[in-house]
Amino acid sequence: MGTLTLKQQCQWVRKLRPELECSIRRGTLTVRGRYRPGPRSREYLVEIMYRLKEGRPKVRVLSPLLRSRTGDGFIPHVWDYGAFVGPCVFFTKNDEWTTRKKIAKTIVPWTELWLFYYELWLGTGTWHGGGIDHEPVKRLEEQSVATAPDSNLTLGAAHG
Amino acid sequence: MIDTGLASSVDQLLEWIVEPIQLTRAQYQEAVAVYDEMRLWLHDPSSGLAKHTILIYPQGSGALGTTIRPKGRVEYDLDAVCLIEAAGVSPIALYQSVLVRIKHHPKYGSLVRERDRCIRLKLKDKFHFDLIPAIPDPERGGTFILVPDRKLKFWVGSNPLGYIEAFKTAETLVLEEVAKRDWIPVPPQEPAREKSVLALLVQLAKRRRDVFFDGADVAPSSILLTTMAMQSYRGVQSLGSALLEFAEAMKRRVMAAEGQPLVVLNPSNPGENLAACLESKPCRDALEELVSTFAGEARELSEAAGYDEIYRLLRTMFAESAEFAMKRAADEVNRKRASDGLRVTPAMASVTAARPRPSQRIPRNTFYGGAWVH
Repeated sequence: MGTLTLKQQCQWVRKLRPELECSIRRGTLTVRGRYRPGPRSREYLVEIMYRLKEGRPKVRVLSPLLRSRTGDGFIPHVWDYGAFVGPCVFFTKNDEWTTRKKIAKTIVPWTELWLFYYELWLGTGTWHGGGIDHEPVKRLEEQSVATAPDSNLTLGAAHG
Repeated sequence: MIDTGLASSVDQLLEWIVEPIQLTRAQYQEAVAVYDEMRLWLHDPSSGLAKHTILIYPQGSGALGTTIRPKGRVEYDLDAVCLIEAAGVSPIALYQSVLVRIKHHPKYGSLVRERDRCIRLKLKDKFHFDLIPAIPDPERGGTFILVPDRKLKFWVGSNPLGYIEAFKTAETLVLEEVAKRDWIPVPPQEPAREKSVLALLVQLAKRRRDVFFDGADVAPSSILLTTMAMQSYRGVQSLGSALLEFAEAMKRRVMAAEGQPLVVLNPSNPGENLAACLESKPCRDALEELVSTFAGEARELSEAAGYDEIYRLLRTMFAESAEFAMKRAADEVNRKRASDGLRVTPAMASVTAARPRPSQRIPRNTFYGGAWVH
């Protein structure tokens, strides 16, 4: 199976996650909706934007705004897109996300999962979701050349 | 929504709070070892007491399964009754005869502390064992006993087995019939997931008290909290709901007294007001402060949205146990992720949907990045 078109992505969102709104305008797919990752989580308004020529969806939490837990302003596992900072839910080198995959089955649930760990981190100061850290404030175009230590690849590794 | 395994209530988190506040295996085993050693010592034919029929049994939290781990200046203990069939004995004579026997114990004899109504063994690691000498109450019969008050030199009525029975009834469990033998074992310490809602509720209330007062003398007694929990408990199986009901009922009861003496009768010994110790103003003020705070926290906890907010409340109420509960919640999700078993639970099924949507497996992913936000 080759790259999914924006129209195909939209169809999959409507089939698998009908509670989310999906639209395509000027070559950009926008998936917007309310997420509640766990039964006692807050409700978050989240927007996913995707352009085929960029190849990677951007995730933005519109409300409530993401915040750091102390005065240092640090949030684990986010990407600084310049205009905003959003959850960074996959590592490109692992082929977890490719343009052949469905946003509805990957980016959407990964974002819910990120929000679950985010709330735990906001409370306890420990990131329980594992992942790979990188130098902070790198921009999207630098991700392809970023290297990461293998030792951090296991689930459950704590950060933050 | 992710299938986190968590319910919309905070029941599971509260149950996880209890796990690290229970006695460690070593602490439990130490308590049982001292109990067994003392009962053998008291029953030994070399003992001057051996000519009497003696029944030894645990009482209080050790018998109810509501003991909690020591915190700060608070110790843990095991209380046991040494019931001696000795008609016509005076309170002081009974106390002295048990005291003398224990003082002769080669290992524990030097650890004896004489208390008003019990003989205490002060052991290491914040543990003490209280042995309560007693005779059967000839007037009230049944499980009623008379305990010597060393200072006042008279008998005080009590009914520990009756209390255990009342507690077990409130738990909706059936008290096991006491076998015809001369001692009753300390019950095993059950894991939190196997305990009754009432037992968990009592443990949470006691831990909240210990975090609130850090062992200060004005803190309300465990038996007062346990009895008020028993009397407010209506059999609800949700721990979160039970906690809220209890905290609000306790506040109503204490505040309704409006400065008048608070009366909390011992259900197994009706003449005994367990709140009598609150006649001093500092103790009464302390209880009022605790119940107001506890009720407010329980209400907030029942309504809080966001696991960070829930954690903040649990941390205030139960200190570091809250971190353990949150880690357990994350561990459950991580275990499913690691085995590719984590799924998305479909949103509320539409009534017009031809068939319900199945839950979807979430593929593995790796969170990346990290940034400072300004």
